[in-house]
Amino acid sequence: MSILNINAEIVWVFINLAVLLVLMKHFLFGPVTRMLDQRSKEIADTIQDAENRLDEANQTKQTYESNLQNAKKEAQQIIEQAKKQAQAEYEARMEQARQDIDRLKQAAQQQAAADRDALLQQTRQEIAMLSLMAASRVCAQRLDSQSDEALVGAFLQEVEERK
Amino acid sequence: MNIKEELMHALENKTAFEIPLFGGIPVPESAVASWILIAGVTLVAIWLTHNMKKVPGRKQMVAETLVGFMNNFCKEHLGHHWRTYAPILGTMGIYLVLANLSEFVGIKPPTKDLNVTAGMAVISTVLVYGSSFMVKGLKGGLKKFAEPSPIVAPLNILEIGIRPLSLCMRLFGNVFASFVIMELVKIIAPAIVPIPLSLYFDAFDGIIQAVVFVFLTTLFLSEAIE
Repeated sequence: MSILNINAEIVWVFINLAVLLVLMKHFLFGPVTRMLDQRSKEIADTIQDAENRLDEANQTKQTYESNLQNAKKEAQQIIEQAKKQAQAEYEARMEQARQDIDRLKQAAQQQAAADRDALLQQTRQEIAMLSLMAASRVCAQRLDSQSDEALVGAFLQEVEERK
Repeated sequence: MNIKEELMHALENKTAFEIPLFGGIPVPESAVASWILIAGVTLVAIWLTHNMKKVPGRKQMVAETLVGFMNNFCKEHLGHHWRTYAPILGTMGIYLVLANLSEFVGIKPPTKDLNVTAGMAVISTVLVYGSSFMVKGLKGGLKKFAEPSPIVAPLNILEIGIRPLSLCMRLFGNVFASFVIMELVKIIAPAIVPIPLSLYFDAFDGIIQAVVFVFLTTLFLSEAIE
């Protein structure tokens, strides 16, 4: 019977499978594997690229942030300096003003004192003169000698002391 | 014609024709059936993979799933050698599945012919031991027979014959048996009844046997080249 015999026809299997292998390699496994490789490579590239860009972006962000920080600090410094300067200026001006006021006050006081003294002097003289004139009328005689004037002066002194 | 004669008739491996060269080279039916299957699967492969794009269409998806599955399977078991073996094992798998399922398109399964399963087993064995020597070198390949211990060397040498025999007979036995059963069923109940049985014996068992064959070959291979 020809069911269970192995013979030379086995060669056909080798030939057929070799042919099929070549065909499958050429039309199925080859191109599809290439395509899969290409795609996975592309995906890997894309991911790599994305990661690189992310790194770059992070770096840029850091740079910007540090720049911003610096700028803020600088601005703060400038403001501080300006404030200090303004304060100093203000204080100097105030000092100046105070001094001026003091000076003026002093001058005014001196002036006032001088004026008062002068006025007093004048008044005293006038009063003395009036007293003399009154006294001379009273005495009906002229009281203009040196001794009389001294007398009146003593009198006025007395009055002032009593006041 | 009684049942036995009918069965024997159906089971006989006939010669399809003879090539009139060197006094006539006989071409068995199984070879002709294989040619038809090869032509068919090649056309399908061309149809699936022509005009491939980066963004796969539906056809390309099918091809990529198939090839990707085979590639991953080989990567898993054979490591970095997968590029060499994925097409070979894939081709064996495709051929065996087609051969076992050819009953559905009205072609007598080539794997019903003992020559075919024996041929496949020989190819598998040559692949395994050939790879062993190719990858490990002559010395390394010979050393493989003394693993895990030199005591088992005779058994390992026996395996050179046992492995193809078991591969060949398992495949042949399954396909042959399912063929016989189906023929008998068809004789007894020609309508409707054979459908579920055919689905089991031809489709399920056919695919299982093809997978087993390829899987065993892969296991032997991974053992041989590791």
